[in-house]
Amino acid sequence: MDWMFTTILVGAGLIALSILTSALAFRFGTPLLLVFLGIGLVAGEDGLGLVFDNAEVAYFLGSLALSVILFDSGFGTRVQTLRRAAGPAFVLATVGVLLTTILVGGAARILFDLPWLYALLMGAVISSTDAAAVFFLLRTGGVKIYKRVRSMLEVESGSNDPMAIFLTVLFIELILADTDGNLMASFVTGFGLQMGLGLVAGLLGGYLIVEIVNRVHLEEALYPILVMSCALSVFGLTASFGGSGFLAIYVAGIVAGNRSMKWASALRRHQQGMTWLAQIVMFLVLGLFVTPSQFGAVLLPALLLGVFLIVIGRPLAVLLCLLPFRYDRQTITFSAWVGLRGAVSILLGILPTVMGVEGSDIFLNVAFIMVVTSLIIQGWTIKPAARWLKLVVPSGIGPLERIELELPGNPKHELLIYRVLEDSPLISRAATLPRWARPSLVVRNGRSMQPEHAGTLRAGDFVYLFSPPEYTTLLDRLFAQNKSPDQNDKEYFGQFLINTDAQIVDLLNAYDLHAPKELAPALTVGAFMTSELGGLPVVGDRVPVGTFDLVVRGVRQGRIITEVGLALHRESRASAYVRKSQQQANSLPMKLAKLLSYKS
Amino acid sequence: MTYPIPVNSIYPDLKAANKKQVLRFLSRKAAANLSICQDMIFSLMTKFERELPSGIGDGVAIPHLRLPGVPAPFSIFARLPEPVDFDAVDNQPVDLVYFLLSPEEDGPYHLRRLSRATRLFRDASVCRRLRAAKNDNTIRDVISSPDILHHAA
Repeated sequence: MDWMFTTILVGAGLIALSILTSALAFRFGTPLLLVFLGIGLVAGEDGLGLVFDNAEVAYFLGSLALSVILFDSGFGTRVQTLRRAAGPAFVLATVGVLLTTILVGGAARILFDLPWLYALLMGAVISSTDAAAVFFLLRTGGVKIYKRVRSMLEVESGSNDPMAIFLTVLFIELILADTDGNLMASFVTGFGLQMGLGLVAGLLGGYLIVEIVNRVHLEEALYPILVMSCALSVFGLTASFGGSGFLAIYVAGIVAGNRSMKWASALRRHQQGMTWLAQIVMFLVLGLFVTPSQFGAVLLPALLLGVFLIVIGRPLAVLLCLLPFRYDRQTITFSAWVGLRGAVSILLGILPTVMGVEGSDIFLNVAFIMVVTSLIIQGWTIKPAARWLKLVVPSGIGPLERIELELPGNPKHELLIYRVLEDSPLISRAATLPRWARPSLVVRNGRSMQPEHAGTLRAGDFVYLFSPPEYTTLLDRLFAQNKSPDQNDKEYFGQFLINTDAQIVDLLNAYDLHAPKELAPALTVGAFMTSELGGLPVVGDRVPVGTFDLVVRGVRQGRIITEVGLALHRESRASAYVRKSQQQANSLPMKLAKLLSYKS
Repeated sequence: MTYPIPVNSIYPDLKAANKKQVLRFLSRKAAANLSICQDMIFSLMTKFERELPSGIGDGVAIPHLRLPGVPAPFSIFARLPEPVDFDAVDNQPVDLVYFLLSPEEDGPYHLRRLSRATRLFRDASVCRRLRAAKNDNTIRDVISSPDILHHAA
């Protein structure tokens, strides 16, 4: 029985060690996955001497981990994200993978002097981008990248593994069949069958998972396990019928994650943990499995192939795929650069061995070297690349959190949380909060207080405000910069200047707008605004009239409006750097609604 | 969805000493094109300018009117080699003028066109290209190209 305890100790110990090391990795910005891989390597045959060379077990564990990861990445993909990015992402995930396979295959044929089928197999092994790596680096890598680009790359990386697996298996089968065969025919029928079956099974499976969870009453803690085991059943069932299990479980994840389901947030949390575990296990196992001392002869050509993939293969494939979508140059360049390879490629590198292809060691070793090259070169440079291409959302500006609310009896409001900057104009009272922004809470030094009691804002305060969504971009002007909004800031103050002595009726007539109520014929714009606002006007206050807003540009003696602007467009689109908190958006409105109804 | 805004006449070298001369010129050209009384346009324009000065800053002015008798949206773009004072938001003299006339019954569409025009001219690169443009066609392209509109939006 000793082996059992030793196995548990070593296995759990390695996982614990990986997790603890990850804290360090965050500090140095190392791609985390590289750390896990490294620990596997250090513990392995060439390091501390842990021998693990069972290809089937490695492949089995890797596939299991991959399906867990794919389910979770599907589960976390919003339909909106999908819609935004579906076209280009799916072209990249299919045509892009095929192109990469052919390009890398061609280069591999020259570099390794392999027969065509073997060379193409090499290309297929390394043809997909890694969901774990891409997700991790784009989301938690400390940079915020514009949503449009991020969505596309995330959906691509989540959905291209099935294609890579399909191609790999296809070439292996062709090699094993040892006939020239009809490549085109087996490609088309195989592709149709696997992907078709995978898609249908995934849609059905996802739907069923939600139905089961919503209908069955269980102990809360059992739901995550139920969901995961159902998902894995979908995977197993689809694969045993010859479909693409990986596609099925990814699609099932998307379906389940986008339908309302009991305990959704608990599920999400639990799954995040599972995904981490799956990633760590996958990389550890693969790190253990590889034996660097065998790299020898392939090292140099593999490095060259890795560089070819990064510099020519991926960029060319991306360019060809994205041409019809008319993206700007920055987006294409960045997408070409974020072609991170990861565990899937190493996993597929084992597959030829598992299926018994002759001389199959080369695939694993080359794939491993290429993945490490990609993780180091691309993983470490994503941030500078995004910054250089101006795709990074500027940091420090924008609200910390933006929560959409559906409040009873109220049309639409958003709750925004801003941190007051060191040199904010609000501190020195150079600017005042306009009244359309309703501060409701100030948190100072960990204590919450009412805005009236907080007095003048101080640096470091957190301000919670309610605001109509169309004005939230304007709030950034007050919180995100260190000066008062410029008088020339047309979005804040309006495009046109209006004479305050002009008659409001004339103004409305000029634009064929109807007065909100009966107005005295001689009422001036200034008087109209004062009465509409009620109380003391503040610079930045707005009175909506028809489709535009009248904005207070200047106030004298604290009560006389001296200048008025006319703002033609309210910004209906959200500011680009706003990040929505998905999970809280579900639960918070309820809590707030309760709170508000209690108060009134 | 963005549609191009109209640009019917282009005057890349309008010489004027002051705002009044510019408005006078624009109303004369509009009147000739639409066969409407020139004095009516001019007096409405000056009245409107008093209440809602059309200078939107950065050297751009967008005078605009809804007028009875105008059959379809009509616009004139003029470039002034010598900028003139226009009582603009930022007190900068104006050298790019986009004059927009809409049919009386065009209420909401008038506003929409105006909104599009202000968006277009808000873009510094658009203004730069308009100032550098060598001929009418370039100017027409810059103003009516949906690509730029998209960019500006």
